[in-house]
Amino acid sequence: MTTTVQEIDGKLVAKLNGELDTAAAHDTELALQPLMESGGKDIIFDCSELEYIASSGLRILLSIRKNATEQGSRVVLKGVNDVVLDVLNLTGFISIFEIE
Amino acid sequence: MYKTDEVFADMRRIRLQQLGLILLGLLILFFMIERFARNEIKLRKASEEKARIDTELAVAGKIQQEMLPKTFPDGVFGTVEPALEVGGDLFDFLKRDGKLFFCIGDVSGKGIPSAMLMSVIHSLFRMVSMKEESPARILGALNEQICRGNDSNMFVTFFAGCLDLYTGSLHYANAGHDKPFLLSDSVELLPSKANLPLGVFPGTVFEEQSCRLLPGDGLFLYTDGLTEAKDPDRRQFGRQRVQDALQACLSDAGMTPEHTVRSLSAAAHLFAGEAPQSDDLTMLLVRFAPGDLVRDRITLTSDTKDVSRLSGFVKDYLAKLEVDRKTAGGLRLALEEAVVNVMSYAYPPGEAGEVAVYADSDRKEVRFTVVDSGFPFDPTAVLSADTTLEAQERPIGGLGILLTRRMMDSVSYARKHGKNVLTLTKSIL
Repeated sequence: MTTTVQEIDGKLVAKLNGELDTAAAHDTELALQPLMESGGKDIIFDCSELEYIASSGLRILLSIRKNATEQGSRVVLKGVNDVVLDVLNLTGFISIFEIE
Repeated sequence: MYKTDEVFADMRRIRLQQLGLILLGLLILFFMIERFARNEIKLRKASEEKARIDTELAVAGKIQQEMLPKTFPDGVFGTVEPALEVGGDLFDFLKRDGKLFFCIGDVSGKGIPSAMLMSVIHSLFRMVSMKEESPARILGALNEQICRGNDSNMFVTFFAGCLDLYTGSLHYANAGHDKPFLLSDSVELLPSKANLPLGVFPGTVFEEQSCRLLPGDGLFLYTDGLTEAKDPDRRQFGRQRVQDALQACLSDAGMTPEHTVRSLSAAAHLFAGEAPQSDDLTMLLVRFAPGDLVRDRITLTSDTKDVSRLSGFVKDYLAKLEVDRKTAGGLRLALEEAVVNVMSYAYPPGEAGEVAVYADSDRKEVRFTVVDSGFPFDPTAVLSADTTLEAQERPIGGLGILLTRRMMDSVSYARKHGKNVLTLTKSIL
């Protein structure tokens, strides 16, 4: 699992690459730390290379989502594959993120 | 010479007598006709009543038969042939967690009273074995229910078993029933302690026994209607003839459970000849017939870093089964959540423990068994997260067990030998 965060056109783009299972959750959370200071900038998760996500990964997304709302940022998930989409559906997360 | 007057007087007297006699005869005739008609009405009423009862009995018998299994998975077959319209015999089985729970029973007596109790026991067995895994405890639960309000002192001989369809491990308990035959290389009686029948004493503790069946081994269960089938000279079919007939079936490699049961039934009927069937005849054959089994296991530490080893294990295992990518993703997630739950909560903080994961499949279904020796904890009793809440209200947590539940067909928990045993199954057809 590799995670990169870049600012592109005034938006924070986080690229999630690989399998976000419980073993990878801790490092991913650290790598995504800059998103907690979004300061109103929109957050885009590029999930096109995200093959798998477990509940520990969802928790990270949820805490970023909660924090972003307080700072007035939107959170968008892009390029979600069917396996991950299934998980978002089953957990009801589909309704609390913008999916593109 | 008679006087004319006297002659006439005599004739009148005789005529009157005749008339009286005729009247009396008519009266008697009328009385007879009336009685006959009344009897006829009574008789007709009685035969109408009998016809009604017969119809109801036939319906009751049909309902009773319909409650028993009609379709059988590979390796299982059973029949009940009641001696009267309704019977006191039963057999049943149900599959869950990759295990086959089965039973056979014989309620004391015959006809309607035993049929009523049989129906009660049948539904009790279904309910109890959905939750309880130990045959001895299943018998215990049934016994308590039957003893309650059993003023007519009915009792039931009963045998319950649980066969692991992946390992062949067989657990069983016997409540005073005829010992089943174990069909292996030869036909032997299954060693089983008799225990008391159900319904005799509340609080009876039933002894559980176990053994391991090898692929192809079977268990033949029957009620005494088979061994005590009588020929016209009132000789009994007997256990030896049953054993011989089973031995003959065993020698024929092509015999399915259905063939075996049917041939035993035919043998008993042939023996009985013209003699009427005196008791219900019930047979059940359960065979351990694993298909092409794919099995593996891994032992992890309770450190969540070990999840990456689990991920590798699951991926390799599901690749062997050629499970499609999406199903594999779901299975991996379900198992990861279940295992992480154990890693996080089963052992006191800072104390290392182990989590064992067993994977079994017959290429139709996958079963994962997660075993740990931590605190007794039933994750299936935990409420799942509410998936309808807004983002700000969503608690961080409670998602794991929800995902496990939703991804699998069944999730069940048992505490066994001081260990937590969580069983997850999913069809992969």
